[in-house]
Amino acid sequence: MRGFSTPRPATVDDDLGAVHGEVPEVDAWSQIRLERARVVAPSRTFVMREEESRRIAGYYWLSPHFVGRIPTGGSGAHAEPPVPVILLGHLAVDRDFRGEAVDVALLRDALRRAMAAAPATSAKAVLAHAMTAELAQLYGRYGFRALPSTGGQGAYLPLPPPT
Amino acid sequence: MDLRLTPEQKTLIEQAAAIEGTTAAGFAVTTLTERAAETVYRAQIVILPAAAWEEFVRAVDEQPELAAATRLLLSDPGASAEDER
Repeated sequence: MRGFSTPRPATVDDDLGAVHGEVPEVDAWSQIRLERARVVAPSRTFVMREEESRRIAGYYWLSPHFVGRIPTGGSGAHAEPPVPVILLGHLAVDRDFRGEAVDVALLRDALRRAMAAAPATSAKAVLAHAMTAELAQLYGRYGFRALPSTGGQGAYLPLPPPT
Repeated sequence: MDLRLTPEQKTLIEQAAAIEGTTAAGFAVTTLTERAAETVYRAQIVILPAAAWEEFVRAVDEQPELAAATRLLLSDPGASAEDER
């Protein structure tokens, strides 16, 4: 089995565009969202490399996000504030590194970092996009629930109280 | 930011600025900033219909314990965020 590095914050030299998953449309979506997250929110991307080739085996990004409700519009209704969450942006594994538990290692790292950041950001959950069946399965296996009315793509993990 | 305005746009903006008792430049900056803040905010939020929202809020307010599989995942000594420090 090949060795992989601990996920590290990405730098401008990391060519995330060279990471190819199984679905080109998902890669394109991921790149667009990643670019947007870089500009819109203080997101951070973390990359994991294969030790020998130094190639990026996979990456994910985290950014602050909110879940809100459609305003009721009633004059007396007081608006409920949106719930702060941490968005786990697309978790991508290069197809050359499939089946080596890179996805599990990335998810472990992402959840650790998200939980460490939760008290400071008041985040109540980790929100993720299950863009592929594999991702939906991965998130489901580790306690994520389907976010209703998001077409099965939104998944969230309620965070336990900080200890 | 280099803005090119048609004479009609310029007149309209000057009119609006006069109504609010400010300059055209001041009006432009204030308005653009407000719109930009709104756009950024909307990009950072998922909006749910009422029923879905209720379900989500109930779930996160419960602060359930992590599933056994999740606890196991987190306790795995594999690559850790802590290792960096």
